[in-house]
Amino acid sequence: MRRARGHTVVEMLVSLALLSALGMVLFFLFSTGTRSFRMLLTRQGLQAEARRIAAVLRRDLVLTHYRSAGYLNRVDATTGEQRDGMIFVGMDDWSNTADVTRFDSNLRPKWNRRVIWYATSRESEKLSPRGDRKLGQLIRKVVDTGPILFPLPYTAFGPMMASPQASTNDFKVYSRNVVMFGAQLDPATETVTAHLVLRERSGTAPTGDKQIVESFEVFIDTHPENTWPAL
Amino acid sequence: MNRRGIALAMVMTMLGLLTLMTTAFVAINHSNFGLLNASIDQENATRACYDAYAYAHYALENNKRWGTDFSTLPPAESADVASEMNIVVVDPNTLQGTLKEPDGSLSRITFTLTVINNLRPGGAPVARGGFPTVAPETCYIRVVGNSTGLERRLETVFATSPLFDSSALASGYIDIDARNSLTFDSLDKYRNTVRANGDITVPDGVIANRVHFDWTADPALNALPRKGMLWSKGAIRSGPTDLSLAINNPQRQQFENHSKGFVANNAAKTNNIYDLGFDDFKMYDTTPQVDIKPGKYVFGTATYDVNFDYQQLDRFGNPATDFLGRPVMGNTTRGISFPALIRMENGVAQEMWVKDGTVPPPGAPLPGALNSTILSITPQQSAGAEHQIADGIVRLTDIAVNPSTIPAGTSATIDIEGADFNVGANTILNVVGDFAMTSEVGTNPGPGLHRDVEAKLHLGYDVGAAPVAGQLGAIKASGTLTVREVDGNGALVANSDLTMQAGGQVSTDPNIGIALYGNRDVIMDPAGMAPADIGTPGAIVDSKFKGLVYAGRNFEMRKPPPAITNPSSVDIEGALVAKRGNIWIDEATNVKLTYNPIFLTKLVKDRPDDDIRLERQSFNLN
Repeated sequence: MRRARGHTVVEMLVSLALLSALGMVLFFLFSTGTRSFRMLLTRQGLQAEARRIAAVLRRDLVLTHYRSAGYLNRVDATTGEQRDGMIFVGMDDWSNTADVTRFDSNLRPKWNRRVIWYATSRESEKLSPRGDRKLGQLIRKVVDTGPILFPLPYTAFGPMMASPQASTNDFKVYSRNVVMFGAQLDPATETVTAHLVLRERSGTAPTGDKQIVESFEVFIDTHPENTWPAL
Repeated sequence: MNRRGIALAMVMTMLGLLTLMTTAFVAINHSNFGLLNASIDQENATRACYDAYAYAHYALENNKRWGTDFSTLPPAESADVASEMNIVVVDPNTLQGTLKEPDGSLSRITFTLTVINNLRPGGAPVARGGFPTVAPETCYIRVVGNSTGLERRLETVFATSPLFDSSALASGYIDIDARNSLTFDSLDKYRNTVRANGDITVPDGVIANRVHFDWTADPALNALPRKGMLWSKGAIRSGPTDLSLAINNPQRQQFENHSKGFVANNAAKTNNIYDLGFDDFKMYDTTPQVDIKPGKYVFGTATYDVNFDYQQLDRFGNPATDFLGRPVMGNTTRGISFPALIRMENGVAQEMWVKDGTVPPPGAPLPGALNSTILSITPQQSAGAEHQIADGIVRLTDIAVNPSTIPAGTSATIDIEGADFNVGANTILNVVGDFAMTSEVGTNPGPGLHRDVEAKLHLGYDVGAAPVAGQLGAIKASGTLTVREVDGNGALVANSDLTMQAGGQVSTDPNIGIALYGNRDVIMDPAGMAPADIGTPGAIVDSKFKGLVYAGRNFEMRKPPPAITNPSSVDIEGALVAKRGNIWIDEATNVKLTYNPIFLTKLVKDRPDDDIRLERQSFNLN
């Protein structure tokens, strides 16, 4: 019986080199794929977050009265980014137009709340340890005021935006990834524009010394439909 | 276990794993697709709501009776609509529609459109099961959009509204020069706006603080930090400052803080202004009308020479005689002046009216002190004698002495001595052609006008009386209408230019609405006024109008002559409209424009369908 011939050292080294190269390629591909997947997830997450914000904010704005809208320009002291706040009238329940406590004979809403959207600055992030400390929160707060006879701007709402936790009023955090939230009013077209930039880390670069961040920017232009009488 | 058993176990394990992964993949995909479909359906249902709403709004704008009875109306009014949706009638108030795909096939997106049209004025509220009660002069629209079972509901209400919605409205520019203050006020609880499709120029409200918004409709409104708005498709300037700046520009904010009004410049849309026609006024259907002849009615002092024969007295006061014992007779010519009104047409005098006794008939004593040397006089008037008055000549034979009413049977009376022209209560003087009422200028000594012949027009009340609320008088000319001073209750209406050569005060009734109307230009031009006029009792320097002031083209208020430095004010309550032109007020001292819908609402009532202006009152999307 003939004894099987073994592998030579050279063959082993060549095989090892080839396997290593293949392994590196596979690892690179896997790493890239994983990173891309995380980036994709982050991007999708930001987009979904922005869409959700846009849907809620747009509905709030569509149903409000333009001339009730006011805004405050605020800048985050650390980052210099815009963290505005906007306020306008709203109503607690739009579902039943036959409800005479909420709609008059022409179905004009009897405004009974102020809706505030605002972005916090870094200081108020201390209770939100997750994520980038330079980012702010986007908060929707409602203040049930009782009847608001005339839907005109309420400008003294700065203190209401100090800290969501300091208030017992209803609020909801819609994002913790806010780089910038800008509010603008165009009286010529009675349009409210919100400019929102979100950002989130999705990992580190292959070199390991640089963060990879995903950003998503959206402009939400809305014409409030209950602006009567119209311009 | 042999090697085959191990292989089988491995294969089964792998198959199990693959099955689990596949199942998870399918489940996740199914969930994702479900979410996606729900999202798409929601978007589709919303789109159906908006499409049906746009269709209903379009149809309603073209036919204010649309939706009162669908059983007698075609469901789709145009090919455009038919290409977008398929509509069928469900009941007299309800349509059902299906949106079409681009290829014309029906999609799965449907809607149900319910219209309760109660726009007709004077109706009763309409209560229908499942719907809110629809108030008179409103139209309720409900759309339920459906996409694969997912529904969204849109509800809205339209209502009739005043034809004009601002205190000042112009297709062109608005330029108001108020040297002291300019105030925009409103007696409406919702509207306090000034609008121009061109630029708006107001006095300096940034530093000099000359522009103010008030809202006297309600104390709570007047306490607000913002009370009104300047709206322009062009630029907005305040004194030397162009306010067409960023919304948070300090100068712009300073103007807004000082004036307490918003600035809205460079608007994206054109503001359409209702075209109010000369024959649209309902007031002329119910008010008695009398016709007067067209022309230029000139108040003045007519002078002419009268030739007299006289007999002289001697130094004892007895009739003088000559050496033959005959009476000493003489002949002289003496000028006589008397107040008169003359009607001119194309520069030719047509008629003249004078006060009783001002022109002595033959044989009558001459008015005034007799010369101590004259025993008696006998005016020798002859047919055909000519008298110069104003810019025309009238012959004596044309004189109609003292018809204090012209013509007989009308309510227009003339006080020649006081130069008053009164339009009687609840009367409209209808003039086919031009009508002008002015004063004789230049035949009197001294600068400017002579107060004795200052022509004044009184609307709605008689000579020597005072205006009475509810008693209206109006002049309606199918050509131009020119007056000097005017006061009273009523309206001045011209199918061409309306010119006022002095200040005036005209108040109209809310049931009529119109105070001044010129289908071309409305011009206030006090250029003929002289310093002597200012402060004279009865002289009107200020302009104060209550009601709609409408110019088919331009509204101009020109500055007084340089010699006049007295303060003059402009106060218009109602609305000031320049349909195809500009609003220009030059060098007034104080200007106040107040929006008052009470004068504008009756313009809408009982008018043809297309003249109703609709405004959306509310919008609800659930």
